[in-house]
Amino acid sequence: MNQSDRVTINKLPTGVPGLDEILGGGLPEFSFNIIAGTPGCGKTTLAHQFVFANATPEHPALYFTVLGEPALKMLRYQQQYSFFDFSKLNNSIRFINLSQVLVDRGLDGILEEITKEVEAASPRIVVVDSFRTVMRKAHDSEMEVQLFVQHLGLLLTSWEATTFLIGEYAESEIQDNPVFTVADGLFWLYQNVERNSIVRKLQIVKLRGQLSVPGLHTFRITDNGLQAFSRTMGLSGRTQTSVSEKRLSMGIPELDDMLGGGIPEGDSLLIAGSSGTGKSLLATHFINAGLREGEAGIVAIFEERPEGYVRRAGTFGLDLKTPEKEGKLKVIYLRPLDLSVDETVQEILDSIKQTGAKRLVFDSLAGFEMALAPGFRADFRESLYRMIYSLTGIGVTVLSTVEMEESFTELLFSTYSISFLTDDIIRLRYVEIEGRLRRILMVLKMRGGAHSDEIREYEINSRGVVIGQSLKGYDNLITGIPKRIDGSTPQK
Amino acid sequence: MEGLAQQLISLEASTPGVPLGDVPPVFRVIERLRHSLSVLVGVAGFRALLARALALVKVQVPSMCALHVTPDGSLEGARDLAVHAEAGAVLLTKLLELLAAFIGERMVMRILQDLKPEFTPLGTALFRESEHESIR
Repeated sequence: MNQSDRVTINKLPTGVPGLDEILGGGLPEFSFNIIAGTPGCGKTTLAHQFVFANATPEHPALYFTVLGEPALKMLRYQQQYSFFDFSKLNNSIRFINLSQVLVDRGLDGILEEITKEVEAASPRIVVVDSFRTVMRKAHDSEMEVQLFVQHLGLLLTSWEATTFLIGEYAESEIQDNPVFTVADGLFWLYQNVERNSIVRKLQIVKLRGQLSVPGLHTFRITDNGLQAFSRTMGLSGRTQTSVSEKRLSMGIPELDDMLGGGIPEGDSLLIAGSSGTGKSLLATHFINAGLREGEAGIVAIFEERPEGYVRRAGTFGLDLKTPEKEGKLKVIYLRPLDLSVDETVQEILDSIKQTGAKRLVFDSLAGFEMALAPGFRADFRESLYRMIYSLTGIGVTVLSTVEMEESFTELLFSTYSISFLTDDIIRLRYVEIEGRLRRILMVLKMRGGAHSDEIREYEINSRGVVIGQSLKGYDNLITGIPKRIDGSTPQK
Repeated sequence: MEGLAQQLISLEASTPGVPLGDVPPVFRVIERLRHSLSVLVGVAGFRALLARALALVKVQVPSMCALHVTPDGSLEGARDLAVHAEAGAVLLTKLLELLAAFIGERMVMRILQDLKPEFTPLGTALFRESEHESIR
């Protein structure tokens, strides 16, 4: 049997941004699916999005409501979402309440009514909300439930309907419940309160017929309904950009020399240093150098507002205002305090698509971590790994700044133990020499090849970061408390 | 909503061959709504709305106290519904107002158009919006 002999499973768009990618391209047509989760986690909204995205007069949808959320209220609230298209009501989407049928005639009555409506409308999509309440009615007879689910599954599949059954299930029920055995797809929605934030995640526990992205994916509910953020950050299936030989200028010739000619394109560079050492300024030099070369850029900031960031760059003669106006630079301010890394990356990817950016700055990682919901901070390191790998994989050069608590006995590379994630590291620090606090800079790591081993002094003036000569004649510079090599005591 | 109710009553009055011959048009409209809305929001949902509308009307029109809503959502209690035809229009208006308060005027219009395809929402905000759009 060759590939062309196999049945083709069409995929329907879910209408939920990001979810099609998680599902491996969309929802398999004619599949029998369950959306499960606790109350308020978005099950009904997900089903509505799917229905509104797919129902047409030729291929209508039947939305059966049973005991549970009153239909009046469901219609009242769901119409608040932007996807709710009034023109589809009745001609493309029919809402049918079966509460009384369930009360009066039980599961047989429900099956009869669904059969009657399905045969009359020949729907493309069928939703039963809430299926759990249907099952509760028959809790005494396991066989009755088994038969009902079997018959319903057979009916809807033979009528070529793609089905969603919605239910408030607990995870412990997965093993024994016949509904889950029959289902082709099982969507589990989670909603947890962690400290002051709500973290929503979804998992495709099961999907017959095609590969979905495993694991828990973040999702958010906005005025537009659900938006899902794949763990692969929207980058699965994309081919990795071939390795470039190009070096990108940091905008400071002396620093480019120290880096062996600049940063290899597609690298991840970390600039680490304590407060006031000029990390953000170096990042601004980097983005400005790209803009001067005609390369669009994105700056994701977490600690100050875009206007302030752009204005401050101007005081060092680095014009970000003009390219921002021209759409070549996008300064993204992210600080809602309940973000996930995946959402941030989605916003950045959208901006990359919009601007064609090749350079990206994260200023700073500490601010980024603070902007995340507490529940996501635990996974910050792993998320950073996925994010950096994904972004550099599509050829974007990523510069991140990280604030270091200064030690005067040792040289720390970075917090978060993320130095292994980065290709290149520049370390900035203060040293005390002759009673003055001076700044030194060194390149600690260049995965792309040789780099300078000098420790150079630098200053920050109206031209930005200006790199001076090597600090010669001292030992222990990197500890912050150097000693003269000739043994004399530095003058205070 | 009063205008809508009157329009529906007029349309019903001119509908030929209706089975409920002796029943005034307003109560035929309410009966049609019962069938339509029971499918959409359930028997209990419709019954709750109609019972609330009737309770509000009884305050204004005490003669309506003879009427009550049965478990299946239909009206019962008067030997001669024709006596209540005028008050019935008030009841229909209240019912539509309540429905609009819950699911919005726009959705109510869709339901009414489904109920009576010849119905045009004259005088409603929605109609005025679409009228302005076409003028522009």
